[in-house]
Amino acid sequence: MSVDLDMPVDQRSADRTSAEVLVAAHGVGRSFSVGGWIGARRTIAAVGHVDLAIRRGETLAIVGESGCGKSTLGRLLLGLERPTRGQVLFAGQDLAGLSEGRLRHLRAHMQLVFQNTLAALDPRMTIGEQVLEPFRIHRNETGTVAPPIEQLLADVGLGAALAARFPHQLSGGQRQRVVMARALATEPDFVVFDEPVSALDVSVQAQIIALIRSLQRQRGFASVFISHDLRVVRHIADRIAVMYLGRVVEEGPIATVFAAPAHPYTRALVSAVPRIAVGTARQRVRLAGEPPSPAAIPAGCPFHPRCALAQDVCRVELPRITAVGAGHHVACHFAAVAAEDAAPSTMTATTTVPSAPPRRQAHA
Amino acid sequence: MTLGMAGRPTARIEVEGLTLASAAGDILVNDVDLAVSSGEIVALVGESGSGKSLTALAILGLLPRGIMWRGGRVRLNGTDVTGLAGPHASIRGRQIAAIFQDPQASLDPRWTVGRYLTGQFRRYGATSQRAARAAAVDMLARVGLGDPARILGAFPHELSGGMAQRVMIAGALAAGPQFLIADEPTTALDVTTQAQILDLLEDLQADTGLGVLLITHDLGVVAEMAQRVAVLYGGTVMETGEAADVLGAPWHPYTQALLASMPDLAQPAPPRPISGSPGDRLAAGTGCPFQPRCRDAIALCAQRPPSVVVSGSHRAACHRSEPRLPHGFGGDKTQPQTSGYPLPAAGTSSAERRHVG
Repeated sequence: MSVDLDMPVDQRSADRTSAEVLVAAHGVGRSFSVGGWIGARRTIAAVGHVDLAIRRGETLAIVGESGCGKSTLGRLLLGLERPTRGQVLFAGQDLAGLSEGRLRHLRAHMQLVFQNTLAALDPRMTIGEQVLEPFRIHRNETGTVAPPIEQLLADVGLGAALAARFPHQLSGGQRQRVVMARALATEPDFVVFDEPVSALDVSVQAQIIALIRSLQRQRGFASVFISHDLRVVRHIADRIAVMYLGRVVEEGPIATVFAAPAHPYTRALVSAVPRIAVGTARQRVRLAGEPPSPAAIPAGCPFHPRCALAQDVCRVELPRITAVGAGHHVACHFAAVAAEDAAPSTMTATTTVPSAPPRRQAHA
Repeated sequence: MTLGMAGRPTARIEVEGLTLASAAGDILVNDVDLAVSSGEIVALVGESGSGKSLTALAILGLLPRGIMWRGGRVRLNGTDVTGLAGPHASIRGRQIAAIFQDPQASLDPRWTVGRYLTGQFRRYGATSQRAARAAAVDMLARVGLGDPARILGAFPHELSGGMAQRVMIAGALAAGPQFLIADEPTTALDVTTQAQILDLLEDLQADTGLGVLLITHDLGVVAEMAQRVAVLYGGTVMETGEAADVLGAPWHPYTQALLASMPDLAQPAPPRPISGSPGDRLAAGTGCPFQPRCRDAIALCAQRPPSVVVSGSHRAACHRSEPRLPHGFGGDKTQPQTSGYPLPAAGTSSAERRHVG
């Protein structure tokens, strides 16, 4: 695999902007109904109203905190979850309108890779059997003949000897490679990675990031990379969508969003990421409180109770997502203010913390 | 116990030569030295199997069954507390508190926060239920939980992860400990909540002069929180020193590789993996544990445990490392560094090399 892994992600994204849209979400929402037998029946809107487009060969990162709906959105994009509102188009076809057979046919072209590899693999099947299984299942759909197992394992950096082993005999990093080999076996056009490296040690996490980057480049599949870790997505995605309580609050080219986050929530997220910058001062936007439950989404802008910029309008009116730059969209009544001035000192309710270790003397 | 500069008593945990083995005889923690004084945050960093959590549990006297104590001492303010168990163990429990990664799992799901916290305060000196409740209310406010009355009546499942960790911190501080061992306290939390909990730990540490041993795999957290750091691999301390030195100018190939493998927003280059997995290591006593994964390994590394390079408080256990000054500090003009990791040279002015093992 002679791929230049050091090439910055930003340089790759330029030529993708003209590619054909492969997966599109139009006003997609998913609500779940809970309770009802004892106590009041409530509706939880896991995903509120999302518009997204993923072009061929492109990687879109979806980030946000627990409960923001990012995993549900990933399942909606794959047709594994039916939207209660809006539609998801794959290569122009509405997934909800397809018959089981048609959907099954499309499934060979879209795959899901998620965090818990022990759950994803069958403990009683050998690694070889599991990697070859998609060829058996999708034989009629793809008409492809399985390449030798050695080849499939080598593509993800594994030795052929592992084919005869069982999942519990592998390390976490090896299992994630197996899951990837299986997901990519049928040469899918679209892959959703749901926190694929969160459970791994740092040194192994970097291996899987490098593998995903090289596979993206070799195979050219479009992908969605769901993560709570902004540091990881920075090196994998072309674009990023930031979710808060079921809605995309900011979306744009990854370098732009990290360099100049326009939504106050994105700015808080980016500034909360610990950095290994010894001896340099930096400012942290402290975000008070925790995300409210999706069962009780605040009126107006869902972020307003935690937002230092919030005004009256934010409490009553949901901000529309609007363009603030090339391919850069933000849902905030004060996006211009937020983008213009990245200095948190203007945000009245936040504290800035200059940090230059050692920050506290033992006995000052 | 001596008095610190601010008139606060300076307390100290000292771990010396801690060596732990599994029932099968594998050395899990090998000759670990570590010290934490009141008023400082010391980070213990490592991947799976590095022995960082076992070291913490050994200090707490909470080693799981099947872990054998092969050697070493734990001293608290000069007193040997190594063998303390049973009723004597409370000496340690009072002065060294601990919080862990999954706060929800540490709380009994059948107990309200109020029952847990008042229980903690009763155990550690509150003379009545009423006094214990008042102390619990105060403590909840101190750890940043507003509306203490509501929190006291809540069950663990009604708390968010961040709130549960704050409750754990409140319970840990009930005895008025001198030390807090925080084992991956923010790993399970979202990034904004993580920042809040780290801020809280820092504030509490500054207010009370608490000594904190922070166990983490996240070098970003170390850079932001710790004054000193010890980096573990395969149960052995690979490098230790001031956090600014170890992270700013690491000597050990493992520390260098770990830093390079960590994705960092301040760093435009993608993370560089370390080959193999943390399970790949040489057994203690045979060589350097990191040898199987080290790009710089020479034949000696598989044959002899690494010698220790020392300069001031900065030390590294490596046959090939040598002290390097941080960028911008001049450097040693007489010894131009031609390669990334120069071979140890004799007569390095401020450093010495010791052979151990």
